[in-house]
Amino acid sequence: MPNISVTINGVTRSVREGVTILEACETAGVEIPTLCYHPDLSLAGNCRMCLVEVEGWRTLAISCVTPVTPNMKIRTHSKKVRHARRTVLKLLLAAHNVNCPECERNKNCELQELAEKHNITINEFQTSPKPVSFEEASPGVMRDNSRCILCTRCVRTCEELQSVAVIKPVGRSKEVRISTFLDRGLNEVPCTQCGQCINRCPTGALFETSEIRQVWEAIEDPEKFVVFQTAPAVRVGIAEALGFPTDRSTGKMVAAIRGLGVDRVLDTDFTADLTIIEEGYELIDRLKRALVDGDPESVLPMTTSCSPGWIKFIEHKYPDLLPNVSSCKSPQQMFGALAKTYLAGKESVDPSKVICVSVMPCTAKKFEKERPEMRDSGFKDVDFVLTTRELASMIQEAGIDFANLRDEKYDKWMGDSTGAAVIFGATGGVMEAALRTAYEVVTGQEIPFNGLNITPVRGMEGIREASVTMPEKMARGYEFLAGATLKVAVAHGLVNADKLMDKVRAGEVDYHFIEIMACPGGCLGGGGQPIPTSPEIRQKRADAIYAEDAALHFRKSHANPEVQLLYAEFLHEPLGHRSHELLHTHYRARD
Amino acid sequence: MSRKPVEIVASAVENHGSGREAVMEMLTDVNRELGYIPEEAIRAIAAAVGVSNAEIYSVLSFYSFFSTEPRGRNIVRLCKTISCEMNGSRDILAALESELGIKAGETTPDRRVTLETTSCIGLCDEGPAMLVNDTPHTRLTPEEARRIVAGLE
Repeated sequence: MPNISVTINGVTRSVREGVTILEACETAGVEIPTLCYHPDLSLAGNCRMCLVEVEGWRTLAISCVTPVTPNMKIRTHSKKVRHARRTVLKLLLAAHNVNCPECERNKNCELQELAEKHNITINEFQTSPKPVSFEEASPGVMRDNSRCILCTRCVRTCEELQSVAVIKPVGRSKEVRISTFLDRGLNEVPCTQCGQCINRCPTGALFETSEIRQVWEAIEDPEKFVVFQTAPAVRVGIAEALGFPTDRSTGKMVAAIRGLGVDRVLDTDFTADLTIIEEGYELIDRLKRALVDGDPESVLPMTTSCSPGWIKFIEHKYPDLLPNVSSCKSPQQMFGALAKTYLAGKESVDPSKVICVSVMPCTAKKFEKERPEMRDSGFKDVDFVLTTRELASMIQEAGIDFANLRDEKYDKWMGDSTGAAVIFGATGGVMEAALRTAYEVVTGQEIPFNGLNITPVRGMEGIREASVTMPEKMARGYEFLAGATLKVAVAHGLVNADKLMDKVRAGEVDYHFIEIMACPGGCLGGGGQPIPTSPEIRQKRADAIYAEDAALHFRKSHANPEVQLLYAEFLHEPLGHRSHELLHTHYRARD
Repeated sequence: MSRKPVEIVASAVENHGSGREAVMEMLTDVNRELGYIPEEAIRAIAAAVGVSNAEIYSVLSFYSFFSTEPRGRNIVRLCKTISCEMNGSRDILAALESELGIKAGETTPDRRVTLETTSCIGLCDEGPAMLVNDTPHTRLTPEEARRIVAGLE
C-alpha cells in the first residue's frame, strides 16, 4: 500500500494507507490509551478509551477501528479528548469493583494503570463497590464479574484463538454480563481451562484458582516431604513475572524455590525427557503395527498428549479421534506418579508423606491433576499446581531478592534435564525432541540437522509441517522403515488444532505424528504465564528457550543420565509393565 | 400432543436453513410452539448452525420475549424503560406483584400468569404500558392493572 500524509498533534507524518489511527500514532511514538484493543485479537472498538479528535469530524473517532485518510489531522490529547477519556474512564471505574488491594491483579491491571495515568482521584459517578458477583468451583480458571468492564477480550480469545467459545456476552443493556451457556460454571461447560482469557483480561475479572495457601501449609508441615517440579517454560517466565526483563533464569529459580523451604527442587524436564522416550517408542510401535502388521487398531496420525487444554478440547470436540492421542501422561503427571513411587524409594520416605507441587505455565494443569485417573501411585499423583505467577507471588511474599540470587542446581534423582526437554516449552519443541530421539533409535544415527536444530518445526506459524526421510540402512529391528518418509505437523492455539483435526477427521492429510499445544506459542504462552502477552513477548520467551537448549550439555532425551538410571533400576524398558502402570493413561468423551 | 424440541428445530432447519441468519427464525419457532426455549432446543440449534451453545444462549438472552424457563398460559410484560418508569410503572409493578402473589420473572403456581418486565415496547407516549400476551394496555393505573390480570383465564 502507498504511503499517505497525516498530521498527528501538529506534526506531519507519512504513514501506510489502510492503517488505523491507533497504528499510525503508535508508529509515530504517540501513545493512545486502550482497553478492549489487544494485538492478538480482532478489533471490537467498544471501550471508547482510545478516542481522538479528527479535524472536521463532528464526533470523536475510535482510533483502534478508524483507518487513516489522506491529510487527516489528528489530535490525541486536546481538551475535548482528555475530557472524553476521563469521563469514559470514570464510567468504567464506576461500574467496576474498585477494591484493588483485594484483587489478584493489583499493580498489574490496565484499568488501574490508566486511572493512575489520567489522575482520576475523585469519581463523581462511583457507586459503592459491588460485592464479588461470581465465584465457582472451577479447578483452573475463576471469574469475578464485579471486576469485568465488558471489553470482550476474553470472549474474542475463547473464540478466535481457541475455537472454544464458551464465554459470551449474555443479556442486554445494563444487565449484560460475560457468561456461559445457561450461566453455568466454567467447570460445567466445555471450557478447556487453558486460561488464555486470563492472560488477556485487562482487569482481574479472570484469574487462576489459587493454591498458594495450601502450598505454604505443606511447606510449614514438618511431617511432609515437599517436592517441587518446574515446567520448562517457567524458567523463561519467572523473571518477567517478578518484574524483570524476559530471560532464562533456571538457576535463580531453583535457588528461590529452595529458599521457600521446600525439601526437594526437581525438574519436570526430567519427565519431559521420559515422555519423549515413551512417546517415541509408542510412535514406532504404532508405525510398525500399522505398516507391517496391518493392525486396524493402530491409529495414525498419533498426536501428543502433554497439553491438558488440548486433551480436554479433544475430549469435548473430537471424541471420535481420541484413539489418535498418545497414551502417555503429561510430564507433570508422570513426575507425580514417579515422585510417590521411585523417588520416595530413592529418598527412603513414606510416599504418603510426599507432597508433589508443580510449577506450571498453565491453568489447565490444575484441572489435569484433579482427574480421578491420575492416582496411579496409590495417592493423588500431583497435589498442588502453582502457576508461574503464583510462584512469583510466593517468592515476593518470602522477601527473596531474586535478582541477586546465585544460580543453584536441581536436586538429584529427578533433576536432570536435556535441551530436548527444555524446548517442550515452545511450540514445535516436543516434535523436535521426539525426532531427535526417534530418528536415532530407528537408524542408529543422529538426525541430520545442523547442530540438532530441526528448524522446519520451529517458529510461530499456526500450523507447520515437515517430513523426514529415513536412510536405507536402519538399526536392527527397524528395517521396515528404511527409505520411508515420516510426515509430521505442529499446531499451536486450539483454533489451529481445530483446523488440523478437521482435516484428520476428513482423511485429507497423511501425517504420522502431530504435536498440538493448546496455547499460542506453546507453553511459553500458557495461561499461567506472566501478564501481559503479545506476539513480541512470546517470541522473546521462545528465544530464551532455544538459547537454554543450545547451552545445555545433553540435547537428546535418551542421553539424560537420570532417565537412563530410572530405566535401569525401575522401569526396565520403554512401554514396559511399570511404564504402563504409572506413565500411561486413557481418555474419555465429554459432553 | 406437542412436538419435542429437537423435532421443532429439525423442521425449522428445513424451513429456514442452518446458517447463522436462521438462528432467530429457529428460536422464534421453538418459542412460539412451546412458550419457551428449553436446553435441548438450544443444543440442537447450536449443533445445526455449527456454533457453541453459549453463542445461541447469548443471542436469545438479548430478547426479553425469549425465555429458557417454561411460562404460564398468559404472559404479562410490563415496560420498564424510562418513559413508563417516569409515569409510574414501579407502582404498576407493585400492584401486579401483589395481585398475582409473584415477583417479576416468576409464574403463578397454577401456571395461569407469567409476569415479566420488558424493554421499550414503543408506547412511550401512553405509559405506563404493558402487553398482555399480544394486547397492549396503556395509561395504566394500579387498579386497572389489577383488574386486567385478575380477569385472565
